[in-house]
Amino acid sequence: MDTKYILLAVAVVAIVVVAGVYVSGYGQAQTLKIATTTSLEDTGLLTVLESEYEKKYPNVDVQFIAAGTGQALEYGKKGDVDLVMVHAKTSEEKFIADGFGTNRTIFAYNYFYIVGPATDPANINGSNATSAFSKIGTAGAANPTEVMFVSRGDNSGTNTRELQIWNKTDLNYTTEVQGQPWYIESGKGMGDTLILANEKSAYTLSDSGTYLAFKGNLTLTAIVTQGKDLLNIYSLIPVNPAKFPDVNSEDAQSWIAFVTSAEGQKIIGDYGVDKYGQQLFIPIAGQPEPTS
Amino acid sequence: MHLLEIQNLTKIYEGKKVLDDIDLHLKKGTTLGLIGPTGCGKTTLLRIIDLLDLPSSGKIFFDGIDITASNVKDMDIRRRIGMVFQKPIVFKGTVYDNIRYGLKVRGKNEDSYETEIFKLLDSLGLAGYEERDASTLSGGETQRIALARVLITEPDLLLLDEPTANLDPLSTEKIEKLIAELSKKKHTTIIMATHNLIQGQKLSDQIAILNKKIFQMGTPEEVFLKPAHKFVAEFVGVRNVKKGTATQLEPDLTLIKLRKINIYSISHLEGLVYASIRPEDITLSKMKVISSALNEFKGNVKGIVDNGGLIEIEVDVGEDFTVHMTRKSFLDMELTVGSEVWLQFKASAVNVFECEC
Amino acid sequence: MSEIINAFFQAINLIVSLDPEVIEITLRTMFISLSSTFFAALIAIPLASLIHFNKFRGKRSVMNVIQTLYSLPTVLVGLLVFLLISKSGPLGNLSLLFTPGGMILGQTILVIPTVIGFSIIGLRGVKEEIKELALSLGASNLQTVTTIMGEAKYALLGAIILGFGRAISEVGVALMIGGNIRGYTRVITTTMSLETQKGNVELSIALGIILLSIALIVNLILNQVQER
Repeated sequence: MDTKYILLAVAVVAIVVVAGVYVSGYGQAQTLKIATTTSLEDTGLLTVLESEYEKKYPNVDVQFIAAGTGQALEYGKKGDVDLVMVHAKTSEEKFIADGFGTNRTIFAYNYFYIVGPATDPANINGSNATSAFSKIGTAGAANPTEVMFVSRGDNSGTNTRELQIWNKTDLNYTTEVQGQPWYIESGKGMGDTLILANEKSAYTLSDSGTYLAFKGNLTLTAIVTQGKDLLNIYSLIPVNPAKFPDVNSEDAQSWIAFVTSAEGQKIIGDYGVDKYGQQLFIPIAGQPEPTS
Repeated sequence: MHLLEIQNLTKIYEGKKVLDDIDLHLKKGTTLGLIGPTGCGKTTLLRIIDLLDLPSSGKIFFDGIDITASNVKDMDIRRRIGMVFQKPIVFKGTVYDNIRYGLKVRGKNEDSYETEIFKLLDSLGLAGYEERDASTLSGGETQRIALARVLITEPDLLLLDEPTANLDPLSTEKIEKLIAELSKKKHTTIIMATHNLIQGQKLSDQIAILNKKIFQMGTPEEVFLKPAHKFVAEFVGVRNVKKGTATQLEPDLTLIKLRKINIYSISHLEGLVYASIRPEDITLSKMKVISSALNEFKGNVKGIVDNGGLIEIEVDVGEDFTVHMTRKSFLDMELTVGSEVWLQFKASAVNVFECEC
Repeated sequence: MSEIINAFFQAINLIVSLDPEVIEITLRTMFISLSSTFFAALIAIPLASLIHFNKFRGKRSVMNVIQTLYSLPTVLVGLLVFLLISKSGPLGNLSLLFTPGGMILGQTILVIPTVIGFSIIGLRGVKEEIKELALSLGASNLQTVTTIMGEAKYALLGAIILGFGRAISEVGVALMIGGNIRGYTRVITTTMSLETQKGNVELSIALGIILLSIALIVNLILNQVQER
């Protein structure tokens, strides 16, 4: 009886140890922790960049922690990651101004899409982003069962952009948008939010990458896809080693160098063509920041 | 040297005295039968000796050590005492696991006890049981395992709480045989609580009649034949207890006046007394016979009870007497209710003890 | 409906074909949850004995607190442990955030109340007479405690299995502390949540089936042991 227990215990411990060695990859000398927005992670681009980078730097294990831009910057502010890859310029500039990051390097851009039901009940086709939001707000207030808008409501880069656009409209966000019956806050990631908007036949704001990745499962169409307000610029910010001496500054720099190199930029430019039939990101490293 | 000495031990439990001023001395190698009715405090006394309960007052010396003192390590004392509980339970595991438990906790090399364990199982009629799941055993088997579990540790003092209660006759016999052997061969000191008088008489060197306090202690003969109290007399099954006034007539002859008749005894007690006559010491006859019995009365049969073995006959001679006779004599005498009979008993058969009234 | 059935068959295919990613995630999940259950048991069972075998004031309240903590929200544990082991937190120097070690710490804390509570219930199930029997047979206090624990071993094992079930099925701690890093801290539940969000229902269902299979196997082993 006792021997059986001992054998069982030994077997369990052996499984744990073998599994532990197998999964933890303790051979790696150093890790590079990157907090990234979900929209970058979900498209699969980062996986390709990671594997090419690790070919060059076999001693570095790149680890992505996907979160909304707000959360990703919070990780940076606590020194829990070495680098952030995000897309909310105002928050990024504050992050650097507060001394948490050293400098901002842009590496790619695309556009946010205003997506909605093909019937376009608020009739936004052909409008710019601001007037499209105004129309949705007005139509939603008049007919909340027909016209709805789903917001991420999670302080992510996409959510930040959405709020910026609402603030440019003639609607008062706090009194005329938030809490209105036609305005739904999902509190979830982009994928879930798109699925929710699809179920409700509602409009939403999505980054193009996630929308294209989900397009097959959706009846929603991209209605407004261009314009200054929808410009979505992704950047890299290393966490300030002066503030957090433990951060892996050296590999953060080599990652930035790789992503902005000709090779890295080509990977970004080519990514998604075979899978989604169209380019997901436009490389812009070393170029002036686009304005429209 | 006394192995166990109990002085003025009292136990109060929930405001009630369950043991009252117990004094008890036990020599090494003695078997003491602790006899009393259910609820008399037998179990409590054994538990206190085994340090599972604390006395409210009093002292206990075990092998000269005051075990009620706070500086004594309970475990060291318990390891020299073995107790078999009235309703034995088993540990999870096999019979063998159960028996070796005491050895294991003492840090003894169990392997060297293997033959010992098998011998013990054999002597208890449990040969071949060692690998059985202990929880599947019958009550009798469990009781025997409990005994084996204690015996393997060779205790100096063995406490047995109703070791054969609720057992079948075969199991009872086996256990009784083992207890007798232990006492004889290993000179183990034993205290056996039982309500079974015959068992107590059979196995004990000494018996103590307990009912919250010890009423009488002595050899079985002393206690059974000469109960010192009415409680003892009644408890040990002495019948025909009569109250009366005794007057000494000669150095070895006393007359006791009962309510309607007078009887003779050889006791020296005078005044208010109880007298008892064991039913088997009384003889009946159809006619007056010449005998040495000083006590002879004429009366009528009031009732006949057939107990299967002995026949119990109620005879009214002014006082009611219970008489035991064999089936054969009963059939020979052709007694029926109402039959006229003569009843005789010797003066030496009258047991007289003081009346506490 | 056909979508579910379809996803189900694709899931079976992923499992049968031993998809390397599925296997890797499964092994990591086992490693993390078994480790946290192991540490939780190591802490919780002695604590349970301490509570069970000692009389003290407020014992009932302690039990109430423990039972309340059965429902400890995983995200709350995740958040507290996050604040604790973040670089800016008191244990930041240990660099445990976003590592399997951090996840083990979080799950251990999460599981401890469950294991303590059910261990106490298991110990209570042992007859009072067993204690006296052990003492009477010469056991020391410690030996008596281990004897009682031995008598309760199946109940204790059950408490551990319950803890393991909670550890392996939770997502809050794994996500907040682990960060769902591919190839490092991604476990079954976090992958399910991520893949569902990405629309990969098949992989999610496959992982769900695996999770339940692990639970089934663990329970079968337990039953096997109990029958002996």
